[in-house]
Amino acid sequence: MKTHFTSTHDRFSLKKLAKTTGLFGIFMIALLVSNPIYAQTDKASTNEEITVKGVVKDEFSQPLEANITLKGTTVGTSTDKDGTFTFPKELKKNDILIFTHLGFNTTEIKINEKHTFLEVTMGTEVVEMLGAPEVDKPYKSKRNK
Amino acid sequence: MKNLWFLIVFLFVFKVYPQQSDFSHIDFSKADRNVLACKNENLNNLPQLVDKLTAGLPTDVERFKAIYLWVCTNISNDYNLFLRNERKRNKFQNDSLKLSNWNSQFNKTIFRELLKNKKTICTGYAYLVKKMAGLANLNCEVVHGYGRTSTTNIDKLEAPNHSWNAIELNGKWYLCDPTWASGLQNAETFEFNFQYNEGFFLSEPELFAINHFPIEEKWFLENTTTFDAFLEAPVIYGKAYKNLLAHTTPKKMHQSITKHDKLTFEYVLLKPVTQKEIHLLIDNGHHSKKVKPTSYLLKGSSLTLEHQFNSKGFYDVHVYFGEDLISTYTVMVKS
Repeated sequence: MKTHFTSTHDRFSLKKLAKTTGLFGIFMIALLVSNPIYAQTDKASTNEEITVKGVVKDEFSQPLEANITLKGTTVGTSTDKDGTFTFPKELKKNDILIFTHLGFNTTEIKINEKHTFLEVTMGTEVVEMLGAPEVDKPYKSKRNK
Repeated sequence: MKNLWFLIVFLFVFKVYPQQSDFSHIDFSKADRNVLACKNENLNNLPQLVDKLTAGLPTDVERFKAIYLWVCTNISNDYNLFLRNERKRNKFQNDSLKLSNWNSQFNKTIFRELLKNKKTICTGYAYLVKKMAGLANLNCEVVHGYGRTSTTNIDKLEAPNHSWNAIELNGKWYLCDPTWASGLQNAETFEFNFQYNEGFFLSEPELFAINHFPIEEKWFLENTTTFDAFLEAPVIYGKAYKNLLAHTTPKKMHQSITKHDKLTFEYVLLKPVTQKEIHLLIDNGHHSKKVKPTSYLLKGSSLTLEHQFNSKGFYDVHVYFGEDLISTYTVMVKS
């Protein structure tokens, strides 16, 4: 009785398994087929060169004089007093720009075709300031005079 | 399991001091040259500065050294800024809102001062090292905690007062203190003098823990101590880091002995020191006397000194290797 029950159960789950793997298979094939198409559009867009301009501000919308570098290179620029910049090199999709400023969180931005004008807000870095300076003055016990 | 026991026994019997020696095969002269070449650079363009400092350096440890050394030798400690911060922090100690307001206001001052005058206080050093190391793709953290020096109120440190760095190199964490490595503050004139101390670069965690107590326990890296033990420890000075791998005995600053008894001091040396170079400066409050320890024993790199106290009294005992002040203890001699 028990075996019979198990076997129907098995058959049932096998059917279910076949159904799911079938669906999964179709999904996999769909992925394989669609992948090359993605790759092609990708390739097309990486060739495109993008001139990136923008403005850098702090969280109170005040312009910030930040440094901007292309990740992995030494190519870079700084923003003007009003926070605006034009990146000196044409960029490609997926290039990463790094924005740095002392006291602000370093921010990375990935370029895509839509990014021709960047509005970057940099948040203040919260640093708890402490300081015990080093001295070589010998320790002196406090004594009752 | 057998191997594990073997390892444990090995670790107990042979104490290894691996920190700086992990990189003894590395020649840092190229990193030093990069640092010298950037002597007059400012902080307006950090990515460019980091590129110049790390140019042509093949290993992470060299790249980190260049950044760290540049910060230590180009940023000065602003004592007035330190005093102002300490006053306010103590005043607002129990008012978290006022403290956080002060912090954000002070933050702006700090960064302006750093950018304009290349001056800061210790969190500024640690922050700058972290920021620049990050631009060189190195994993560096700021560690906050308690720093104990001869002039801090050493028996009770109420609030965290110091920051330093932890750096990951080849998958292992190391400790550095750029503030204390940078130079010394004259406690009377408030003047800062650059005087780079290599001992605070990849320091031995156990020695480091004698005067650095991190808020987060993980930054001990090795054996942790309790806060009470930290407060009871002897005062060690910057020069200790140049001369010692470990300070073994005594574990406590305040010692009490009876007349004609001996007090034992044990150290593990970083470099050999001769008997001629070692002396104690014993201060009874009225005058200080330079004396030779009663006995000296050097076995490999372990140094054991003993000193016999023959008169009753209360003494500050300073240990010197040549000109270098290493540590201080107080000794109560009873009859």
